[in-house]
Parts: sequence; C-alpha cells; structure tokens
Amino acid sequence: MHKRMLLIAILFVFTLLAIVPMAAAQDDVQFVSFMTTFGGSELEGLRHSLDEFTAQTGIQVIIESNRQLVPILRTRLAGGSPPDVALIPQPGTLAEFARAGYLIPLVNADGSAGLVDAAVVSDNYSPAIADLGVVDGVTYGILAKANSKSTMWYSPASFAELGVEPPTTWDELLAIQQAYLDAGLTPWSIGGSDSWTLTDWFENIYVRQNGPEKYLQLFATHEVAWTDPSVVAALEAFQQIVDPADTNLAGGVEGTLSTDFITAANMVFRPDNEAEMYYEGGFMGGIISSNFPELTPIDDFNAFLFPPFSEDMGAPVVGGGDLLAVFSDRPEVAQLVEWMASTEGNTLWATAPAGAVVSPNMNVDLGVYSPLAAIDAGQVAGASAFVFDGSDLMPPAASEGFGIALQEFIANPGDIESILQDLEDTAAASYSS
Amino acid sequence: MTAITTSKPITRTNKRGLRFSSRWLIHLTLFVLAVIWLTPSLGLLITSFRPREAIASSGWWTAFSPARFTFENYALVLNAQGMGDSFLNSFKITLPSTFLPLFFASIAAYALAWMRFPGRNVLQLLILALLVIPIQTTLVPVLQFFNQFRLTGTYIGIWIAHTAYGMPFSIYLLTNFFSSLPRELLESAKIDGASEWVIFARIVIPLSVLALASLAIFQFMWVWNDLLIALIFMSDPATQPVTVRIQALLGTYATEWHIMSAAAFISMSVPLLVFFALQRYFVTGLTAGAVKA
Repeated sequence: MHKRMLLIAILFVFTLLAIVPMAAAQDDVQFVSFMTTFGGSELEGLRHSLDEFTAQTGIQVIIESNRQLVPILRTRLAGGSPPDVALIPQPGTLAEFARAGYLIPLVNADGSAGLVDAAVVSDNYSPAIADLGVVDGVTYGILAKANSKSTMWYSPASFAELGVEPPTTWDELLAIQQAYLDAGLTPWSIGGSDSWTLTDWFENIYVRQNGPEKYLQLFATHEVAWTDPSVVAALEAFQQIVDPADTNLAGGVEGTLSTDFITAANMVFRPDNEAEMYYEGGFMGGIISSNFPELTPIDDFNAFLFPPFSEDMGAPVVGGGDLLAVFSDRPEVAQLVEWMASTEGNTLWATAPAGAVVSPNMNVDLGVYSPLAAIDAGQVAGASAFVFDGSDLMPPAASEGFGIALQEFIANPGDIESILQDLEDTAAASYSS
Repeated sequence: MTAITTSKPITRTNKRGLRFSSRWLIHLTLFVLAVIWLTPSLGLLITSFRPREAIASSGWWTAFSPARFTFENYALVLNAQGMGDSFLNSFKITLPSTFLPLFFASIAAYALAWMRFPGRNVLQLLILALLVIPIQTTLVPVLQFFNQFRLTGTYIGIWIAHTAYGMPFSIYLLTNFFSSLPRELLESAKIDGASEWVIFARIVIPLSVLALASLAIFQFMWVWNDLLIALIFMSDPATQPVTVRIQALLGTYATEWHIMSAAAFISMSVPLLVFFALQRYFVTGLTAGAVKA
C-alpha cells in the first residue's frame, strides 16, 4: 500500500532528524543546567547577568524555566536527572532536599570550603541573609534574589485629597482607614481568593507584634501553638482591617474571597477605582506599572512600609526570595555559584534593562535601582530583621490549612477561637510527621 | 468476539409532530450547549486582541465600548526568542508520536481481534487495565529507565513515551472496531490463500480509515497539547515544544494575561487546522468500536 510506504518513509526521516543532532552535540563546550520558575522579563533579567558569565568563562548556562518547579524538580530528582543548579522558592523545600542528601554543601559546618570557599558567602551577604540558606549548620543555599512583602500600595493623589501622609504606626494606619470610611470611600482591596495574600497580611502583623524569634517558633518549628494568645492578638489586629467587610473591603466578604491578587490591585489603580489601599509585596510595583503604563511610579502609585505596632519590635521585613541550590559537584558549577554570589553578577542582574531584581548581596549599591525597585531594595537593605514568608516555612498541609483558616476568618471574623483550634489540629498533625 | 453482520434499519416514528418537536428540542439543546462551550473561548479570543492595560481595567465583554484592539500580543509571542524552533520541535515530537502508536496499535488490535492464540483474553484485559493507570505515577520509573539508556532529552525517548502512553487506548479502540468488520470478508480472503499480513494490509486497514483517522486526531491533539511529559523528559530548551516555550514567557506570578491569551490561540491553531482537515473522518469515526453493527 502506498500509504503505508509513505508512513514508513516519514518515520524514517524523523528518526534521522532526531539522531543526527544528537551525534553533533558531542563537543567540548561546558554546560551548566539551571532550573528556575522565572519566565518572560524575569528570565531576560537573569540572562542579562548570565550572558556576561558565559562571555567571561565560556561556560554555557542552559536555563530550564517551568512554573511548577518543586513538583517537577522532585520528579527529576527521584528519576535521577536533576538540573545542575536550581532556584528554589521555599526554604522548607531546600531543607528537605538537603536532609535527603540531594544537595551539594556549599560551605561545610566547620566553615571549610564545600563547593565554594566560605568567603564567597560571608563577603557578600549579611549573616541574617546567609542564615536563610543554612540547614543543620551547613550552607546549602544562597539567597539569590529577595523581595519585600511588607509594602503597602497607595495612590499619592488619593492620600493628598484626604489630607493624610503615609502612616508610620499601626494606629496611624487605622486613622487613615477611618478617614476613608468617613469620606464614604472603601479603604481596602484584598485578593482573598489567593489565600497567600491573607497569610502575608497575618505574617506582617505577627512579626511586628512578637519579633522574629517568636515568628520562627510559630511558623518554622511550631513551638508556639496556633491557639497561643499572641496568635489571637494578631488576628484581632487583622480584624480591625477586615471587619466589617461590607464597608472596609471592596466587594465585601463575597468580593474579597472571589478576587485574585492581581484584580484586587487593579481595583485600586484602574481609572474608576473601587478601593484606595492595597497590601501585597514589592513585586506588585512591576505588575501595576505594566498593567497601567500611563501611571508614573512614585507619583501616581507608591508604597510605604507595613507600619510597626511598637517601637521596640520595630518593622522586620517579611520577604520572599529564591535560594540557589546545587545538585552537581563540578568545577564549572562552582564557577557559576561564585558568579551568582558576586557583586558583579548581582549588580548586572539588579540593573538589567528588563526584569531587574532586588539583590540581597550587601555590596550592590542601592543607587543602581529604578525608583520602583528602590522601594523594595530599600526595605530589604534597611530591614532591622528579615524573615522568610511564614507560609513557605510551614509543612505544605499546614500551610494550606493556614490559608483556608484566614479565608474562613474573612467570612466569619467572630469565630477566631474555633478557626484557630481547627488550624492547630491540622498543624499538630503535619509538623510531627 | 462473534460479530453480528446483519444490521436492522432503525425504525423511525411516524408521527410527524413528535418528530418535529423532538428535533427542535435537540437543536435548541445543541445550540445552548454550543454557546456554553464557546463563550470562554470567545472571551479568550477577544482578550487576546486587547491591549494589556485594557485587560487589567475591564472584562472582555466590555471590549467593544470603546473598541480598542491590537495585534501586539500576537507579535510579542511570535517574535519571542526560539518560538519558531519550538514550533518545529512540536512537529518533530508530535508527528512520530502520532503515527507510531497508530502503526503498532493497529497490528496489535488485528491480532487481538482476529487471531486465535493462548492468553488472548488475559492480554486484552491487561491492556484495558493499563488504561486506568495515571501517567503521573509512571514518570519516575520511566525517567530512571530512560537515564539508564541515555534516552532522557532525546526525541527517541519522548516518542517512546508518547507511543507507550497512547497505546492502550489505541489498541482498545481499534480492537473493538476491527472485530466489528464482517467475518465473511476475512474468511473469504483466507480461502483465497491470503496470509494474515495481506488480510491486515489489504482488507482491514483500508476498511478502517475512519477509525484510524479519528484516532490520529485524538493522539495528535493529546501530544501537541502535552506539557507535563515534555517538561519531565525534554530538559534542553533547544528541543522543547511550543507548550513549554509558552509557559516560559510567563513570569513567576503569571500576570501576563495578554501573552497567555495570544499564545493559547497560536498553540491551538495547529490542532484546529488538523481537526478541520480531518473533521469528516472524525464525526463518522467517533463511534468507532463503540457498537458492533
């Protein structure tokens, strides 16, 4: 049959197509594979730095970008073909991989060189930042990029009309909220369908009321129970914002719980805005400015630091970031790690024309940032303390329960006790296992 | 596996009124279903032509007042680095992964439908059982296996993976279809001295074009739209298909709705073309193997 001959011919051609490039790829160029969740402009920003690395060393960096990094990475690790390095978005996952023996130590517990010298880390990062990559005394990761999640976004024009200044204490914030209510406006927009926006709110309140040490005891080690009075106090503070939802939140309870975090921000900055203030991390600056290119950063939209409750606790910055972790022990991989930690590599990344990041490297000059990134960078650099996003420090099941609990809290702010009891039950089960 | 060869003509109701109203009802139902199914796609299509700030400010249903449309989203996606190559990669992955399972499954299905050998029923049951195994559970062992034979990241590896994943359903569908062919045809060919191979190639395959074509559409769309298997097995960006390339255009928070909507339509265009080209077969072949006529 002619059709079958054709089919076989097609198969033959494709087999050749596949085999020929395989044979050709065997040359002497060194490759490092690099897995990240970055895409689009973020990827261009990373490339801006890595291209210079390739130009200087001749080592090619193959970037694998995927949006479900942790599950894919887990599969690839179990299957035996991990990338050489990966940017892991959660310290909990880094610790899990480290204890499972998947990661190459960067610096050993006694300070001797692992993959790189101890100075590569200590010369470039403050102890608070360097500690984020340490698991059981051994440095397994380097915080490659950081973001403040303590930024509150507002419209300066709206503040001017109301006659208020950005608040420096929680009470001043509540006064502004009251002023908006008195003016017949809706103060807040919250994207509660993405439950992490709610957990971020809570984390900022909690760390400001109780300090970093207790924060870690609640989220990372679960030494503090969810039924602890400190948790109740933090939720009661959050209640001052979200209750009554009908007047305080755009869309009320229903609207808040069905709005995603981007739409919630759009609601504050679109022409016929439905709310006046929005809280979410520094990354919102980029999103707002690309969604509304006619708005000028700083002049038309700006952010202030999540205000502190008391002077002695101050305003620790809650942040997120990506930790560079290494799966292969090869000299070219070590060179890449050194580049990713270096002032030059970080400055290039921080000054990329598109997709620039806030570098936690302490030697990167703050003057290199755009006005928008400077908000974020200023908070990271000037932080009295830096704590990782609490929900990322929790076991996945507890983290999920945490988000759901806060969604329930938005719907029924009076039920603090029963909500926290349920969350404590979930947490108790998942931390012990 | 005995096939009933005489099919009775379906008796139709003679009451014209009943027939008219039932047909009207069917059309109305179809229309409502079509609207429900098409609305999200229509929304996506309109969104894909709107500027980014318009998408952020208002819903797609308000797009016509005032009408602001742009081709910029499509230009952004099409001009993205490596997009052309990834299209080519998608074809390199999809075409063999469509024809290989078709080829092997038709041979296997012929044997299961018409040849007598010990263990045939057990084998058939086993293949049926494979249908219910979720692909996700097989990823790690398959990856370990591929690593051992240096197949990870090669086209041959992903062809084997897609072929294997597509086979149970293909065999199942074709076995049912083949066994519905008239027994007399095959027996008379045997009496004339035709070998199994000749019967397969000269009689069964030409009679099964409809079933094969609809199966080809299924398999093509499944492989073309696949993201998971490509993410796991094709780690080198130089060999990745369109689906992987498109998700790399999105940032960590996937806020680029303008890129997503345009990219979705670009990626959809190829399966749509295939579908419209083979639609004739698809509609008639849809019930292939479902009933023995």
